[in-house]
Amino acid sequence: MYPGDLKYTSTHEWVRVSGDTAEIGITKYASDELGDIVFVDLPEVGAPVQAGAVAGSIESVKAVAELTSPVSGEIVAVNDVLGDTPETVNEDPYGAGWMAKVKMSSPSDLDRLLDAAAYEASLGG
Amino acid sequence: MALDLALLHEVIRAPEAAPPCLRVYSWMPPCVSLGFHQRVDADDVRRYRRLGYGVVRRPTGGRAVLHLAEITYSVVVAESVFRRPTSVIESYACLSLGLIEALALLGIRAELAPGISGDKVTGSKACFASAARCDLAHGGRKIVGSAQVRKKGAILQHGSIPLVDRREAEADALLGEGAQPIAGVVSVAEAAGRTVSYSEAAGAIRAGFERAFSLSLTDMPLNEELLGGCEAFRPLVRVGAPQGS
Repeated sequence: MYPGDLKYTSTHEWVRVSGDTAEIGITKYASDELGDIVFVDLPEVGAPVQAGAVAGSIESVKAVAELTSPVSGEIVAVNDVLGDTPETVNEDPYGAGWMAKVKMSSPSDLDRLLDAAAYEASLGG
Repeated sequence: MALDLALLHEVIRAPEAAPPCLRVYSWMPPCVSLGFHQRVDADDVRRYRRLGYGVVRRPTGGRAVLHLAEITYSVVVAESVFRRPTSVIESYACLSLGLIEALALLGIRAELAPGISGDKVTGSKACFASAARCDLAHGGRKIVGSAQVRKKGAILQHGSIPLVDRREAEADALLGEGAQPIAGVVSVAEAAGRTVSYSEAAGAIRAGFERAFSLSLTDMPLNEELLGGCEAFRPLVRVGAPQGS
């Protein structure tokens, strides 16, 4: 159900690790729950982020929700596509709907994240 | 609006200690509230102010709402009050039970909108131009517009209930002078077939929540601590005057 090569947070973000870079987004559970996403507010490239802290926000037709960074580090890229087509998050949450890339300052942050099975279990699924 | 944020942060700060809170209020002067991410158009803000309206930014999403001849409600709860992890739509459905009961007390049958215009956003700047599945409808027309924000295990849901037909004023303010009145909207007066005062509506909302959730609400005074907290959030809801206005 949830990609096995990713890590997850209890606040429904996913992480794809490549070297010292963490690509982050929100899970299909989160995007389904929010409904049609109409705006994504992402951090600036170069901004520092802290694990567990708010990094941005996501607005759907139903609610505004926080985007929490799963890891600490520096934002090295954001997905500019989401500015014009925020619905990409709903359509492809683990691919084209990625939100930001973080150069990790503390890779041990990954140890606190959930694997796919644990994340799915946390949803009651 | 700043008080809604202050109440939300009280729940974030102490979810076990801060009880669920229901608030009803009106605006003086009437005010336009913009959605959290809604772009501020300087010409629009000038028009709001020229018409004598205040302007604030909501912490919740959606589009502009004119708070004129209406009643605003807000509910702040910790997610933990629900018996199990609750989805966004489930929480809307639950909290809306209080509003549905309130409207029933006024003789109005209401239900969660099926997404009258779909859940897709129309191009309109105005909230009441379409209904999402978090809104309430009467006879297929939107009667309550609501929005949520979720932060750190706390939920603020608030919304607007038009008491009388003010669609022309709404269109003039939100869409521009001479714009077509927004369709698909019904006021409490029209739905009930009579005039409903603010005080009667406020009483119905309180009684509706008490009846829907089998509880007794206790009045909570706005103490200095809460008002002080409210001041701290004012900058977050303020919309600055456009250049040259």
